[in-house]
Amino acid sequence: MQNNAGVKRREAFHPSPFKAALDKARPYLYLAPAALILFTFHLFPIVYGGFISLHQWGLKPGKMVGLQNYKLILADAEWWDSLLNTFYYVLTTVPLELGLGMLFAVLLFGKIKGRNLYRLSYFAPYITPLAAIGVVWGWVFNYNTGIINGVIRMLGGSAPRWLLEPTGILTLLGRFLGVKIPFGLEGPSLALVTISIVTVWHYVGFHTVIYLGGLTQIPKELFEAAKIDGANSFRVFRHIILPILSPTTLFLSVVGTIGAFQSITLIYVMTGMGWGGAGASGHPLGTTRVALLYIFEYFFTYTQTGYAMAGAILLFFIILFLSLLQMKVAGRRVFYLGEGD
Amino acid sequence: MRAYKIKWTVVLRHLALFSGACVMTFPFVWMILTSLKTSPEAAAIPPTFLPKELVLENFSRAWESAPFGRYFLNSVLQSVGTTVLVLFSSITASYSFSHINFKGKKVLFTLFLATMMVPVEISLIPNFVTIRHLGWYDTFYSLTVPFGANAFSIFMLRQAFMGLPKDMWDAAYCDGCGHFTYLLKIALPLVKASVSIIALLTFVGSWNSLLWPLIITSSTKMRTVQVGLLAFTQEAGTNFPLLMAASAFVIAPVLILFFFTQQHLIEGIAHSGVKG
Repeated sequence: MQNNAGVKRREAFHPSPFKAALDKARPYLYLAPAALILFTFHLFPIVYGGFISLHQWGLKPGKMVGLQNYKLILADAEWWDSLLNTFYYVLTTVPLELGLGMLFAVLLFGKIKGRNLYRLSYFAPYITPLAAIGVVWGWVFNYNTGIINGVIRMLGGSAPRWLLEPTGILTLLGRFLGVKIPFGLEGPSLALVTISIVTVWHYVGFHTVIYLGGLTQIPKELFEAAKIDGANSFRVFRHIILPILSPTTLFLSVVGTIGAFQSITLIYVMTGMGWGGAGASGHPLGTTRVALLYIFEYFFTYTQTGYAMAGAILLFFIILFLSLLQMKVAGRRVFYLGEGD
Repeated sequence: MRAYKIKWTVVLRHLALFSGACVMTFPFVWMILTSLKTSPEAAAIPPTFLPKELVLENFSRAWESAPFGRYFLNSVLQSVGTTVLVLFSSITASYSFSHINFKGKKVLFTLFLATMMVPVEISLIPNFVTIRHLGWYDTFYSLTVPFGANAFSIFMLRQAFMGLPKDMWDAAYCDGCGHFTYLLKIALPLVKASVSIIALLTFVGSWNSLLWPLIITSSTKMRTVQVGLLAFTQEAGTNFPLLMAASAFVIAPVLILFFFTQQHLIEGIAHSGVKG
């Protein structure tokens, strides 16, 4: 044994030419598998996507058309509708996710019985596959036989059409209150709002966990000092918790907005392309067709690859612009612990 | 007397948390309850809460009315395959980045990290075209290889490897230990917490994926459970007990996995979220 180790040791300091070459190549060899996959499927698409968007491209590449695809998509009213739907989707999901996530985190923070069980039940939806979530919630919100409408009918109310309802939520509310809502202010369709509810249900556990992480960073002395100064819970929340959580809030709102722009699985499963189809239980006249779903439809259903790619690139820049805007606008209001006032 | 004083804030907290938990778990409960009912009872007005008679056959009927056995096999192969690829590619790459000095290290590392900035809406279509060029359409390669490496895993493992004391490698090197042996026998066992988090996240993400398998496979024999469930919604029509039974066994593997690894999984996701 002793002897053997000695031989090896000498080799390490005086390697053979083959071993020297291997040692030179080693770092690159180790990187090769990851590099191959990352460059092919995660970096190359930027260049290739730009290339595709400049072509008339169906299932096979066609002729170069320059910016034609971009012009066509910008001239399509349905593209702008889909963008409006996307904004509705973001506005009906992200603020609720942030608010509820923070509420649950604050409630769960500190000593409370059954903390782990609560956390478990809040987080379970986040790791549940979206296909199954869409199917199960589609059943819960089913117009004819779903449990929600079942209860509403039992109580003598008139059952909403949920995923089938293309009418704007504000119009519906106005009808209920006897107010006439002017054209253009209908708001998102009830179908889209229904999907937003399910989306919030799916994501809120993630927000809760991240906020809990943020809360644990607050030094205990701060709470004690506030207590001695006689601050009530509301003031502690307003003047300690909220400012200290502000970086987390900024982070979650940026990530949440990007995520909302990119999530079409749930919408696709629950209402197909917004026109029924797929696993759709809804057919709300295209009012749930968000921008990425529009792109997905042109790509997947109509195989207009070049056109769809142009839309994807436009969407990318919209998301990028919004993220930068969020960080710029909110960045000034964010308070970082340890930063001198 | 003081011991009996009810703390109202605690009661309120529990009340809020409990009602939240009810909303969060209700769909799961309702899924299971529906899956145990007869089809007429599930559609009955007014709705019943508990099944009048337990129809356990719904599960076997759902399982048999579509090739779910095949779908499960495909999903297992997809998820395990992707996980193995991710582990292999990220262990070797992160070791190289953390333990070896070489030319172009900084540039390569930056490029690797840059892949995190490329969003799905940009990569989906070009990747589809690439897969067609490679002749991988409707094969297992297309389900696994494109997600067989990711910058986040490499970054996370690199951090773990860099946490190991430098002297340890120097000592091992002096004893005639090469990089390969050192990585396999000494470094890897020390970072197995990170490795298991990466494995868990990759497996769950892969199991849950729907969009990519949907566009990249076309034949029934290549369908994963998620795509299969979507197809089954059309076949089952309004037979909701069957549909709920099928949903239940699509969800079951991740929920069981989550139940046994909750701490790891939640922390892993919390960290992966922080990457942005």
